[in-house]
Amino acid sequence: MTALTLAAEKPPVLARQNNKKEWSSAERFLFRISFIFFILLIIPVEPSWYNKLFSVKTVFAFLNSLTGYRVGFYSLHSDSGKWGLYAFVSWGIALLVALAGAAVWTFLLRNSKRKAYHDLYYWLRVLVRYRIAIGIIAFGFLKLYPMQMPDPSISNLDTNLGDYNTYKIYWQIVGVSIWYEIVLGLVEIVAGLLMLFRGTTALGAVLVAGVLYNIAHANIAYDGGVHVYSAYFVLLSLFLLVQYVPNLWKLLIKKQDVEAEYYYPIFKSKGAKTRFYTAKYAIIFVFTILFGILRYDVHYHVGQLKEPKTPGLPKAAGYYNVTEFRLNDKVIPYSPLDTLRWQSVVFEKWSTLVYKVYKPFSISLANGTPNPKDIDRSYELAGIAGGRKFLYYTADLKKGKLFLEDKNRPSLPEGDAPAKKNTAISKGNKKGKKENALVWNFYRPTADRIIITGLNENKDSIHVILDRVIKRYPIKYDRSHASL
Amino acid sequence: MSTLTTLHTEKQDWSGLDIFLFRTTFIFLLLLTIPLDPGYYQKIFSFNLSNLHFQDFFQLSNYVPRLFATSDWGIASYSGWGVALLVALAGAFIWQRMDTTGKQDNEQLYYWLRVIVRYRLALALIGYGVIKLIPVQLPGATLSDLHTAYGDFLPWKIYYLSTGVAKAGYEQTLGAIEIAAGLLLIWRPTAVIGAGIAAAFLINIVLVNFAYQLGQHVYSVYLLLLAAFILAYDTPRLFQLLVKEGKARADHFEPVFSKNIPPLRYAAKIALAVFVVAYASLTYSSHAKSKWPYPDTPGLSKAYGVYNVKEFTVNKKSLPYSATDTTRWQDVVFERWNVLSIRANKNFPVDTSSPVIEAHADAKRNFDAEGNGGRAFYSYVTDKNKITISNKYIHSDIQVYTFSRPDSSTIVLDGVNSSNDTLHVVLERLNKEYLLFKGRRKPVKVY
Repeated sequence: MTALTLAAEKPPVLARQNNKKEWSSAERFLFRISFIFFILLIIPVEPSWYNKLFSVKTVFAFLNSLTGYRVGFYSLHSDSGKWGLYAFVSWGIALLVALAGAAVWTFLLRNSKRKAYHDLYYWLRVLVRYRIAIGIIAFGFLKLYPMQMPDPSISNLDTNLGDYNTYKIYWQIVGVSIWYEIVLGLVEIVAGLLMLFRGTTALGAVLVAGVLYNIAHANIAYDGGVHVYSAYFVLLSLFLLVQYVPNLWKLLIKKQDVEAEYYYPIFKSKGAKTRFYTAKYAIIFVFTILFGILRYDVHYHVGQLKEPKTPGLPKAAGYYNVTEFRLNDKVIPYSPLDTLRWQSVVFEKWSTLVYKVYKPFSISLANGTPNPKDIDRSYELAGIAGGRKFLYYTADLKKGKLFLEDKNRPSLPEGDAPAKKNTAISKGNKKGKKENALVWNFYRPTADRIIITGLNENKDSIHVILDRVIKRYPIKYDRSHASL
Repeated sequence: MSTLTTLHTEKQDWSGLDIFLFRTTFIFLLLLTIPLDPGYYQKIFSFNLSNLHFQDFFQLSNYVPRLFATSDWGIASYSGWGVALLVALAGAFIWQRMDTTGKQDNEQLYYWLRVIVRYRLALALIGYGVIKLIPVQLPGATLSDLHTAYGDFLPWKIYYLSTGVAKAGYEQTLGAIEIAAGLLLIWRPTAVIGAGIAAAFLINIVLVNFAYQLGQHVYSVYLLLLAAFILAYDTPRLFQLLVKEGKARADHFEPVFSKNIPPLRYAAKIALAVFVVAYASLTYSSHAKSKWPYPDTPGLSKAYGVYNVKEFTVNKKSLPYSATDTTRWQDVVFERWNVLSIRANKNFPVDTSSPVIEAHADAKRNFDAEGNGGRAFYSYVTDKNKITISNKYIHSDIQVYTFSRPDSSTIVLDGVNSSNDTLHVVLERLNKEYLLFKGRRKPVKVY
């Protein structure tokens, strides 16, 4: 802020940087609108945001909040308000405020001799550039450490395409190719880095506008839900590109030689310059290197992941046929249309057991965002149908017991909040087991057979023989080698 | 390349090395761009001029410079390019030797190379853009696809279907962007903008071609090369303006045309306009009238749906429902067209061919079977109460059944399968709702 006031008080004098061109009154008015508009979109004004920011417990969470501010003056509680055009209502409000503000501003300064806002424009662009950079770099790390879109779990590979929600299809396809996801993450990080330097801002803005336009449109196309936030980066990038348009037009279309004359602040003292660059590189360090390290730590050490981490039963991962199913000691034959008899079971490599019956279930429409606890990590069930019940379990290997709990809790409005403590499964042999928790016995006569006994959610006794099937999924085939 | 263009912009003489590099590039790009593959001409001359299809126009725009690649995959798929580069180097060397006067106007030649590349790239972008703007390249999922496990698709197919299920004009917009880039390439002042858009677009297309083995990795890299070549011409001045933020010289080059050239230029532009309009209208009318890439012959009347295999008798022995039996069918899908698909507990051989944009009669439209490893696809013909089903991939697998429909949701088949077993099959239509079409805006409870 010192640098800003400094620059405003002492107009720079160097020839190339001293752009003295006057602006027309229309240009000044447009600038005032843009200035207020973008400040409103970038600087959080809600006290609740600051309360939340300063109540976080880790440096990472603090930085992450800074990178991810999403303007939300008002949201309409309708379909379109969350998923469609009306979700942009906050932009509209900001624009109205900006129009009113610009009108007042213009009125107050009607006698001013000031004919341009080169300095303010410069600092506004700096703000926009840094806002884009920290936001897009944070996004990029999610893909660079490929956990934004995990590769499809066994149960997801087994799910029919028609039993997917569109948003899950959108994410899943990226997860199918992990290196593609990593490259996308790199592109976002590089685009963000380009934003941090004057000379590369134009290229960075083009990249961000292109990539984020694609993401924004896809989020509308697949109900991804972050179309406003992605479109926000497109808007900011387009604003940055405005400065270059006249010169590009002259140079390329009208074929005139041009000389760039952009305003840059001249520092009065060496100290001011040092402060400026110290601040700049401190910000860059914090939001690239430090943030990257912390993000890595949060994913891979703290375990803030979308997929559960606790290993499942040892060497049990795979797809199982239900060879025999007894309900209250009565054998029920296999049927694809039975609402109680299991058709198949999947043991993931983590502690999730999925069984399939012919029955409609409430579908988790959550995003499956990262959570610290396995039971809350819902990516594997988000947007997946087909009569699947996803059970989180802990195992007591000595006693041969599984303690299971339904992972799907559709009552949560956003669907992604962690479970409250009182609904969390009691670990192992802790007392006070919840009513919805299941306890089953298991034993494994052979490597590929698991036998489960216990009471199902209706308190009926079940006795289930599972036999593992080795599946070769075509999605893993390499067309350049495999002959099928 | 950048020294070459910098020098050019500054209107300086070209050094010997510049000229050599330019001539190598010139020969190399022409070898890749001029169709040398006789197969291309065979295809073109096989078109029925009185009954042209949009796919024919697409094929016209779709010369893939594989040259004599030794393999369809991996680095070997570019082997022809290596040979082209060697030929170009040798050619440039000979050219250098023969050019004793040094009076040849390289700038004019460079201009003409750019013209060729611009038109070539524009044609390719429009070729692919139109079939996305009018969404026939990546069609939505069929009912059979909805009843195929995610893991049972080949990567390219799941990529296609994932794009095909998008709403909100997503695929159409991608097409519109490709077309816009193509049109911008036609005019010299806007060519650099078109090339920029094309390059950004093509980088992603190259990546997904490798990531999902879409099969167009040679073509997409070629097109990216062309876009980069066009961009290179203006890169120095853009660098001056945007990165150095200094003085940037505009392109003051003007081609010198002999008398015959201006009419040719108009002719080229008109030809391209005719091409675009004819191609787009044919695509539109095909999209409106035809189900391509799926067959157009209607299926059994009011049979569309997914069927549970309620009874399945093999040689008079009734097989109960089973997840493990390899003979017993698990479910059957009747498409709106004359295709049915069967799921059973076995690894069906997968049609691994890449999708092609070609006009085919119904019998050869295999898009539904291609890349789907979860089901066996049969096209069928009915004659009174007889239905003959022919496997779309295993051509020896032809089965004949008599069918009856005791009520609107039941189909009974009696006949002999490809292993000469006598089958009696009762199919019962399921009322299935799909999460795919439910959205996520309201709570969903669905099987």
